[in-house]
Amino acid sequence: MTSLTHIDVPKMNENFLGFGLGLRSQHYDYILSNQPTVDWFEILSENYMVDGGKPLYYLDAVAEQYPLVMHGVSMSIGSTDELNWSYLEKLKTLINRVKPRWISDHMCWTSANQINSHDLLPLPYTEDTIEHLVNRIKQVQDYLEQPILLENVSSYLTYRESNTTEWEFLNEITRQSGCLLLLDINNIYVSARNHGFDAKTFINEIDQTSVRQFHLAGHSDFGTHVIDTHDHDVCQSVWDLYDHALDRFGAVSTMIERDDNIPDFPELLAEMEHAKQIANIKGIFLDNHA
Amino acid sequence: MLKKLQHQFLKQILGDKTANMQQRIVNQGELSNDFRVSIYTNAYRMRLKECIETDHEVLGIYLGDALFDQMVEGYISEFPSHHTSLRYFSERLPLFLTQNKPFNEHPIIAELANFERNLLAAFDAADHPVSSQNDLACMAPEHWPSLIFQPHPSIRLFTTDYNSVETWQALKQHINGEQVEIPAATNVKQSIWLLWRNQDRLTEFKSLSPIENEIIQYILNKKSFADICQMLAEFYPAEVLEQNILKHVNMLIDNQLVSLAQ
Repeated sequence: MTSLTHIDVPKMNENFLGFGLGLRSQHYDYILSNQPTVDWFEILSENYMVDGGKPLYYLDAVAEQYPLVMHGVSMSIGSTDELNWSYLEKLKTLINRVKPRWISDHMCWTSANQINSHDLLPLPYTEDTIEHLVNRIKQVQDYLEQPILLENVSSYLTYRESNTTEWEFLNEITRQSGCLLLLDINNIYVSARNHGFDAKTFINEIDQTSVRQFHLAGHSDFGTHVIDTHDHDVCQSVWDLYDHALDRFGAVSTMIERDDNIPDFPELLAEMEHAKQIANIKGIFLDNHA
Repeated sequence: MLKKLQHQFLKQILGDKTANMQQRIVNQGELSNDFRVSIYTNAYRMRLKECIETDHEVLGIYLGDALFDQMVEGYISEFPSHHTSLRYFSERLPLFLTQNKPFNEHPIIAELANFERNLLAAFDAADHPVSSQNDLACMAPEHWPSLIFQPHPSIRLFTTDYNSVETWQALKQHINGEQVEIPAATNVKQSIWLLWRNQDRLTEFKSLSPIENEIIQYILNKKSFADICQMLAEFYPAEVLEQNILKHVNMLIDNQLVSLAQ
């Protein structure tokens, strides 16, 4: 691995928010009472697409004190159903309330025939899929009046139709649509193990300018395969991959994503601090951004 | 081609093994294609089961593991999700429970599910300010007849034929580690319950007397204070009318149920 000094790190940019955590309802009171040192929080958009009550109360309270980004799971950008304009309208309403630094979803499909699988299902890596995605991403970006970030998903199968690699597929989509990537380092690791490719090759081949955010998360390792469960600490292999990703992409806003078996807030904060330490060693500090 | 693939995959996820997704994927490494597809089909059912467990914790305890699993399997098969949020996935669970054996042989089960749906609806209903006793005191006397009580958006009315709310309360206490006796399901006199969210964002519920229910119905139908008083005048003797009007207004204000509008 190339050892980078401070000057080797790609220049900080205004989109480097520093180090964040996923906002979870279990931690609302802790965050508001203790005001922990977290640079930003990521919210799960769908959890706040409600009329009122506790979710929106706490959202507004946290938004007063921290920068937020929005992360969704139901855009179903790769679906062959019509774009869900009702969903996008609700998303836009929430965007206007939250005023997030950016919004993201996943490079996948979740629904077909108007039935929602509530899963992030993989797409075949083909020219037709790229064309389909680029067309839909452009429509969404026009409607939301901003570029969106799309996250690489964990996958457990490869379609026979696929005729290119995932990283080439992602690069082509970002180039043609102008969208950005939320690079989930754990998902790269999970998919690499399940499909037998080299995770570092994935990172090395992704266009450097397309990455706006990193996710770090835990998974369940069954030996023969790995399931992306988000219910464990980040493992050493993923930390190593994060280290490598920093070498390639420099200062990228990074967060710990935990969705199940959620520990007390200080435990997640310690994990976030670990990510920060790895970045700091490479000369990446939030204060550096101009 | 993409559309066909997605429909085929979804068919498999929904439980139709004839979809044969295994044939559309590449053989890779140690894992069989059957196993790779099963990761998705299992995740689908697990995710939806977790959603029902979260939304219907008390119902789950009431049914026990075997019946709960039977309910989950039946519901997932009959009512796939059409929503972008899991928040609404179990909306039709009470309907499922009234239409399918063995659950519909015990109507209290559907009532319990319905009660939990109403609690959820009150939890994240729209926000709206409510009026205080001070607001009431500041209202000029000439404005009272045309006054309209605006109900808080979280208000829900829930009718029971069984002791489902009492059972829900006992089971909730049981979940919280309290030693309580769970009442046997009883077909009681019909009861009407009011559910709402207070200004501390806590969901509350109380049983309503017939006259309280009538008042809430009037409020929901945007009837004026004069209309409500006229209705109460037919119910209470003249000598106790005023004190009862005051009692009912206090109930609305003290429970943070309404705001005042002209």
